[in-house]
Amino acid sequence: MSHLMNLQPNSHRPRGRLPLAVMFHHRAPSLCLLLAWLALGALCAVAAEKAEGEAKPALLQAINVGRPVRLEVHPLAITLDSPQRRAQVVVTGVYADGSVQDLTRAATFKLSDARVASVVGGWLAPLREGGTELLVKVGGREAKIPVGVSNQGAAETVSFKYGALAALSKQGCTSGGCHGAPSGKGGFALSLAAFDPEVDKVALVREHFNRRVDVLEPAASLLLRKPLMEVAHRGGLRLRTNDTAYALLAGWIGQGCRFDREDAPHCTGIAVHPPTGRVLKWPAHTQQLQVLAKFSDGTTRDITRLAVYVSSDEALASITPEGLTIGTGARGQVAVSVRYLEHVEACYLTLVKDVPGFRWAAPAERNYVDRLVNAKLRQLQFLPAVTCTDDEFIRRAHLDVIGILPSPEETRKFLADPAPDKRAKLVDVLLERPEYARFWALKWGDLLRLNAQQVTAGGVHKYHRWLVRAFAENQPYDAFVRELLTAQGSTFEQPAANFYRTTQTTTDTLETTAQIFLGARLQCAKCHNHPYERWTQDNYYGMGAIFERVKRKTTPRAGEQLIYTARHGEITQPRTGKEMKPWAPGAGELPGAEDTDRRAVFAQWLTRPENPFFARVEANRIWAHLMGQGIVEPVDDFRDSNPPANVELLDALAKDFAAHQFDRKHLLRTILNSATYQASSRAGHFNEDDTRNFSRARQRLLTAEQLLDAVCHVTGMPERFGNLPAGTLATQLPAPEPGNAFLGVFGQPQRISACACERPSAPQLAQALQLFNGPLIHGKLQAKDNRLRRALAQGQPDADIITELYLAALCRPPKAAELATALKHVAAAADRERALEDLAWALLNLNEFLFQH
Amino acid sequence: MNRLFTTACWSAFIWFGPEARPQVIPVVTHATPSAVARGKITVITLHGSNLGGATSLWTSVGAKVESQTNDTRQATFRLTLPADAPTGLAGAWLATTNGVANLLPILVDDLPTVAADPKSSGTRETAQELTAPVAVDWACKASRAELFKVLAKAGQSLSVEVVAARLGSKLDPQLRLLDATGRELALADDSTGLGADAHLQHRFTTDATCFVEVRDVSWQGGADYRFRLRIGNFPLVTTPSPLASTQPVGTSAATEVTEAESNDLPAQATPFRPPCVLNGRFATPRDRDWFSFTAQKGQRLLFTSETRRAGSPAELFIRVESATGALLAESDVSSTNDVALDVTFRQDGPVRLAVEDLVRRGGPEFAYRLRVEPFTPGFTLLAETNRFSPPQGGGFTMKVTAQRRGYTGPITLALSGANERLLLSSNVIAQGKSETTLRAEVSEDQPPGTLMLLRIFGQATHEERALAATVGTLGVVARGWPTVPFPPVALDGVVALGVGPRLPDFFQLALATNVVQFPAAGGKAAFTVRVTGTDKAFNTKVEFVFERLPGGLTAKLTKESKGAGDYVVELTSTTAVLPGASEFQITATGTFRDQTRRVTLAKVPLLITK
Repeated sequence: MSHLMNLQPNSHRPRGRLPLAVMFHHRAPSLCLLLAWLALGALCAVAAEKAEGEAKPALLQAINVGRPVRLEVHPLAITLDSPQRRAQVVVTGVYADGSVQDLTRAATFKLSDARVASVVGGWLAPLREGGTELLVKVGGREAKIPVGVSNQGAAETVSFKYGALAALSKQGCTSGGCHGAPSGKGGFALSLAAFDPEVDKVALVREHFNRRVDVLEPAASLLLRKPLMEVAHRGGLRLRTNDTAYALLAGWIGQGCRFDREDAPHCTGIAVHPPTGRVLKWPAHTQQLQVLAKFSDGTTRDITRLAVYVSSDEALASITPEGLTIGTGARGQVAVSVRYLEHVEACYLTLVKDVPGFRWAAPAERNYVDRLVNAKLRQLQFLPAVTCTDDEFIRRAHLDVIGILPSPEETRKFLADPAPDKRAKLVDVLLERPEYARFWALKWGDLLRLNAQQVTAGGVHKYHRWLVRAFAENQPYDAFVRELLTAQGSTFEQPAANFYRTTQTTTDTLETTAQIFLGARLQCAKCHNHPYERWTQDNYYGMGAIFERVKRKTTPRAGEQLIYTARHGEITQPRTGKEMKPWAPGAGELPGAEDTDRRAVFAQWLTRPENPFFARVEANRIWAHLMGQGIVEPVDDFRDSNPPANVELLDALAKDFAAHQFDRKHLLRTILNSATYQASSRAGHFNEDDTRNFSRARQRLLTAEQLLDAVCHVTGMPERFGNLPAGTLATQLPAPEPGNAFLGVFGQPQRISACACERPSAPQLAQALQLFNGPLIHGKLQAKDNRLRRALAQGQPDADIITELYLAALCRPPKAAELATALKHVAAAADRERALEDLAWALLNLNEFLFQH
Repeated sequence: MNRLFTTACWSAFIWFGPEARPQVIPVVTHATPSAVARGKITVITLHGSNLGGATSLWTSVGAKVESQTNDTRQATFRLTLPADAPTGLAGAWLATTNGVANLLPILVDDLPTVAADPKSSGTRETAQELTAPVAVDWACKASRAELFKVLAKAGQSLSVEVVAARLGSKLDPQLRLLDATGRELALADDSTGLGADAHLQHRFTTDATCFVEVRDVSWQGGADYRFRLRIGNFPLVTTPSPLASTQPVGTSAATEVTEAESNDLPAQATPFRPPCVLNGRFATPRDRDWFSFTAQKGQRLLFTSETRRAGSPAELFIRVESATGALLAESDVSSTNDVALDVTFRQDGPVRLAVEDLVRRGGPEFAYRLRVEPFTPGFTLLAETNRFSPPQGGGFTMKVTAQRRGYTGPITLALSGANERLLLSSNVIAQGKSETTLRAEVSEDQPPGTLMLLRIFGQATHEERALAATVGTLGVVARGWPTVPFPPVALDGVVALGVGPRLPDFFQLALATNVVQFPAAGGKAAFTVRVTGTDKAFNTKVEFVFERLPGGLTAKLTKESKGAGDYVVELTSTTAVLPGASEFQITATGTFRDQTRRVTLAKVPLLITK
């Protein structure tokens, strides 16, 4: 059956032939169900594309050392000033072409005095006091670094926080799936990622009559015996006696389980070597990391084997507990997140590999977007797709900029236009169309939770009107955000004040603000330090202090709220009881926020052109809208462990955006005019593996509203939405349309949260059923005055009617073969009207219609 | 068949006959035109239900009224308004022989009203052409905008206002001024101080044809979505500065102090000496006005804003500080009413007062009045209702609540001015109590359709000083007009009473036996009194009083019913009673629909036997 239909999964070729099986339209239900399954498969194509590049086991390949011109050994000198000190050496080969390669695994290490220290694979441990040299040899080159060993007489006091707790974190004991869970495991609860040492003190030492530690015989401590599996442990084997963590825990117990003094040096940060941005070229696919912790007394300690490592993409690279990153052979960028208690750093590595037969084609570059995308593609050895056709472009640009399909007349005119700059002209025209503002208001309506339940039935229209005007007047994004964040007064008179109506509490406000404008999901930090990110609980409540004084009160007018800022009121950190000062990421405590509206100070900080978050988040959101995928994805989840696919591109877009006074139309125009945007969605041999680097357009199902408008457009049967005036499009709805099954099935969000994830992209069987035999499509196809029947009534010939339907649905005329097949089908049918109706139905079920491509 | 028909007719008489029909209170929805002009005669028709028997119309602006025609759905009057009547929103009460209708908002508006063109269909082509100054009453249709065409001259300033929510309409209007091509020249929605209503002003630089567009912001529509569109050249500022006093004339002799700009800093504070009324305006957003005075140790001052009452949109936030900026007191912002702040000063010295809008708004509308006076014991009285329709010869009850300020003694309620047509009872709020349910009886000679406008006040004496306050009703008006942001203060304290038809007797009384017997030796004996109701809804307990019983004999109820039913009376004597025949009297009192009836059996035969 599937050969008859163009509905089989085929993510790379949405363009379909005319379906021959149009006779199945509105026929046997069982057949329809079967077709629905097939269509579901088609819808799954997007999901399948996402799933490409599933994790493969990382295997160590032999290093092709080659002939480095020199070796770089890091660190330049090693000091081991206590029996517990260790040090990791990282050896880098520098080659004649300027490239570098991690040779730590391949190098041989030898100490000039083996009595002073030991070295295994670049990992040094002290033996006795004295000085020596570490000789490193590899690739015919060698290098030496001095090694000093001192203070071996007495054991160093093991810090409770930086030793014992760090060790427990390293072994995974404090993770959310283990004892770091809110209620712990097996009656033993630790704070998540050791964020609350006070809680951990009680749990480790004082709870259950000290049964977990035995200071007289540390090795007999349950804290050690359980993870060693000497005593039954549901968490399994988590510790070995030769682990660094074991030595620290045993040492801390043996020293009497002492807690850190108030004035003990505290960690001020960590540093990772090599610095972020190194390129690993296959087969040199590994990179040893070295991590140093810096302390307030000026000392540093090697914590390479105490740090916790997480790879952002196991399909690209994994990382061992010892800090060795191992690429899988796939190409792309990976972030290794390195955490030591509350300190987090990320190391970005780009993994490249020679592709047989690959030759850079040097495609034309229209602006910096192409230059930066191509640079990345060239580095990763992907070829950009060819430029899309004019019919693909007019369809794509209309859907992306104004949300709707062009009319057949507009398409004909555009396709017939010989002007070389007609695409740029079309972009300019679309950006000035009134539909532009309404379509983008829909997008922001999702983020700002415009729904009648939240802001009342009338309030929705007022808030929506405010949004539409902001886009229609092309209000600079920074001004837009400032107006939104500092809004106050009546929610009816000042619709932007509804921002604080939809976020009814301080925590909701700060989480929403962070998610929309900083691209940060802070929810975790409400209860504990973020386990994978820099955000701490203090940071969370520091941001809360910005919004704590925002108050809401009802007024005598029904449905109205008055938003105002109280003159005083502070927020306290629930764990510490500390009164928090207004705080912003990167800025710390916000100066001048004491006696004024703190939101204004925050908004000023947020919208500064140099703010590292603000422009990038919106630039990424706009990029994602046009390209179907963010440079950071998900678009509201910026974090060190979720790196941009192309850092340089995102930075350039953000810089350009800020430099042009946060003009969203400028950014849209820049991207829309790029060759990258105008690339075909068809994959080629040299980019079929690429899912993250924008070598081709990304196919995606039209949104619920786009699809409904498109169906109405093709059938010529507009939809009515409640009392909204005739002609209102689904892409212009102020709020979710209650009870509209079609929109609901295709994922129209209810706008309960600010999360972009509320608009689902996963296909559903119900979607296929709607398309095959749903009441909406069925009704519009059968309507007496639809596009098809109007053409019949005007006496148009079949070929003209078919061509018109193609232009309306696919923005192109039918190919000769398609037209011939369609004409033959109509001619063979006993009922011409029914045959044409079937044809229209088939067009509505084509991937080429359903997908943006 | 005949028997069946007869039964049906009899049943119909019982259930639907005129005597059993409940009093149907009139309801008014709107008036056409929605406004009356000053110094002119306006024929106005009130629309609603149960308007038959309309007798009179009262307006809060002193219109002379002549009744013209009426039927159940509309009543027409001829109104003559004094030339000096205040413009703006007013209230009107319609009385019919069934009582008084709900308070209707009407507008006093000097703009001439023209009839709406029913052919207008929301398009530019069919838009009704209006020539300013003009007003038109119309209603929005669902899913469309209403358009009116206006020809403007170069240099002309055009003011456009939609009055809808303030007239009780469901419409939440969005107002736009468009040029001939449909391009938007101005937009207004929820204009400051107007609630949901809107106004705008536009100056034309060239002769132009423009369109005024009015629609519901949610695209709703229908007959309930009425509006009055006003077009002319009138000021948009709705609040004068200084604001007019909202206190009854003659009740306040406080000095008026007006802020002296610039007083935006403590050092520039406008000085005053309590008692006084501070007047000011937040001219611009973020304006904060400072005042200063010298406080005395132990002095207790009450700061009360009269801002919202006077129609200003300002939400006052008051802060009292020492000369060094230490906070002494600040107003509670949670209230939806005007704020009040009660401060006792702990030491002599200069004090400063910061006054600002809670939301830091500003503009010509944001005027305020702040009364500063020594705290004196007193009270504020509030009513729960301001409209009553008692039956002829009947009465009504009115719950009155007292908010006391340092006075705990009794408060006596009385009618303002002599009124022999009403008799008050339960008119004392007892010592320490905060409410009473006042009862008023209307004299029998007041026929149905009579309309009385009353004011009730409370009076008391405290430490040889007379205290008095009128029972406030503005809250009642506000609840009845939820879409009117600032009900006219002239309506405060006004209570309307419209006499309805006499309430038929609703119960009768009979003995179950011919004669009541009691043993001369003493002891107990019982008899039954049967209460029969004429209205099934009558279900309240009947109270009995037994009079003229022989000495030593007492009577009490041992079985009661609710409304109609048998009531068993027990006669008791602990001593012997002289035998013989005599008579006694039974009086039963029943209450139904807030009306009380007494029925008496004057000669109940009593036989005392050996």
